Amino acid sequence: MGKYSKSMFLKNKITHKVSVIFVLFSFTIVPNAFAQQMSEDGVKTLSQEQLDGFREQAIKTINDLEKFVQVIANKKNSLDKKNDAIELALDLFISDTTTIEISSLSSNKTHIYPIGGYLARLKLLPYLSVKITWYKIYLGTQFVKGPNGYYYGSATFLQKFEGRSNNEMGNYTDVTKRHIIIVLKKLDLLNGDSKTNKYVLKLGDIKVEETTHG
Amino acid sequence: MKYYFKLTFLGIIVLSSCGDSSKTQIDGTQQINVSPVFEKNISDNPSDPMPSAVKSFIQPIEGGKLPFVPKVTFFRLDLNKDSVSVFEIPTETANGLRKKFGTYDYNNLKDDLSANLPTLQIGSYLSHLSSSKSSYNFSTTSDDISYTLRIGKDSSNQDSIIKDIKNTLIAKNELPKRFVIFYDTPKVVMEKQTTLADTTTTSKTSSVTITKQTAQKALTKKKKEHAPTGSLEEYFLELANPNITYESKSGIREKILQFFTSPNAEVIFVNSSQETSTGIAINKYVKTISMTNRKVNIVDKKIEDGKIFEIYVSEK
Repeated sequence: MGKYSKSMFLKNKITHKVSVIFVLFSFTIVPNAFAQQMSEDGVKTLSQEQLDGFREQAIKTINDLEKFVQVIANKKNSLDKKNDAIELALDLFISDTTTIEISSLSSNKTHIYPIGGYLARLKLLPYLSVKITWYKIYLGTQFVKGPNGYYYGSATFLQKFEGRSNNEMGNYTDVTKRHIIIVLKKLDLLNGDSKTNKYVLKLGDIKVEETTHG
Repeated sequence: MKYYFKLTFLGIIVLSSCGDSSKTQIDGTQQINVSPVFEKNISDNPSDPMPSAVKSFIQPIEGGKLPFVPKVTFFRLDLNKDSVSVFEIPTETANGLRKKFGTYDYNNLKDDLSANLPTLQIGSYLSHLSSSKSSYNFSTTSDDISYTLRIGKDSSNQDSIIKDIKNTLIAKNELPKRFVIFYDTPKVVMEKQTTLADTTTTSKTSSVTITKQTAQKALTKKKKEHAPTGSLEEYFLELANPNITYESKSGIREKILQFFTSPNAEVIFVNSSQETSTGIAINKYVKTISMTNRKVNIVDKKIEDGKIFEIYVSEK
């Protein structure tokens, strides 16, 4: 497929504008070349139907994370429930070194925290009440397979943060556009002497794209 | 054309940097879930004889050149407080990546452990890595008791037991693929009566005030309380009920777990006829459903000895 597109490109001498589209298209098939190669080495390659199933799962997982974040931030919830929510939220991420970027309207700088630290901090925010809502969740284009056999995708969503306080902190509200990496992680499993692999969906780093007053 | 190559090259770089650049195709790797072996007996009752127990969970992760390169997390349990402090061995990084898989070797592990364990002030430390593969020797500084933790390639009994230096069985995991080390001498192991029948008690364990009969009664009572009388479907329906608080659903969660071979039984999601997994175990999944109140439809289940070891679900 890639070769065919390349020959078409040379043959027709298409315009610069069209070549950009072509380049972007080819960009998406580069990992597939890896996929084919790795597949020959016995590494499972996911079908389009399987990837579609994971896309659906990705939305559910992001919704779950939103729910856990809401539970953690909600001052009315018990400590046990909040701690459980932290534990469950951490399980959604690919590793404990996953990070989240935090922004504020009061500063141009962003800060990056390990996800565990962020969630613990969220639990202790010094507001009387905190409400966090995620909306406009959009899944990016298809998952692409990386050289390490993992698949990568991404999603964006808007996060509305509302903190209420009756002290000098006052109230604070912002809306942040966030970008999150979605990883289909390959697990190698031993079953007796034979080895198989399967994929599980995990979340990766969360970045800030922009923060506004909403 | 030049533009094309530039962008493609850039794309490869981006994709390469997205994931873990370390090796993933290594022999002898497997996923192992780790949690307290005796978790069912840990309560927040101040009179519980385990408040000072310090436990360490050794969690093998996907291995590198070595079959298992453990990620070590120490949980200090203080049941008089409502928090659990967690300490993780800080690993060094190589080329911006955390040392693991093929880049984290045993010497680094040993150095990390030696450097950090004393700061835990738990009176014990890793003294010796006895082999490059599957055995670790631990010793306490307070007495002569040593424990050997065997981390093996599968869940056979040999790999889920803890023996002392005289090869006496100290603890046996009730659940497969789980490991626990008591850094303090195990002052009481309530499940000892049910799972460690051939354990030789030490002088410290014999000083435990709780009696075998009391422990067994408590265990039986607990089991009766959570014995399921309804169907799994009914319990999942109750979990999804938004009018029942999360805390009140704990009994339902316990009942659901009774249907499974292990709290770690895997949950597979069926989306658009495709099976997907988030690697979530049933004990975590029931908590998730308790919070999200999503309705669960059981699509399929794999059963072993009358209990479910893998469940396929779809959600509404």
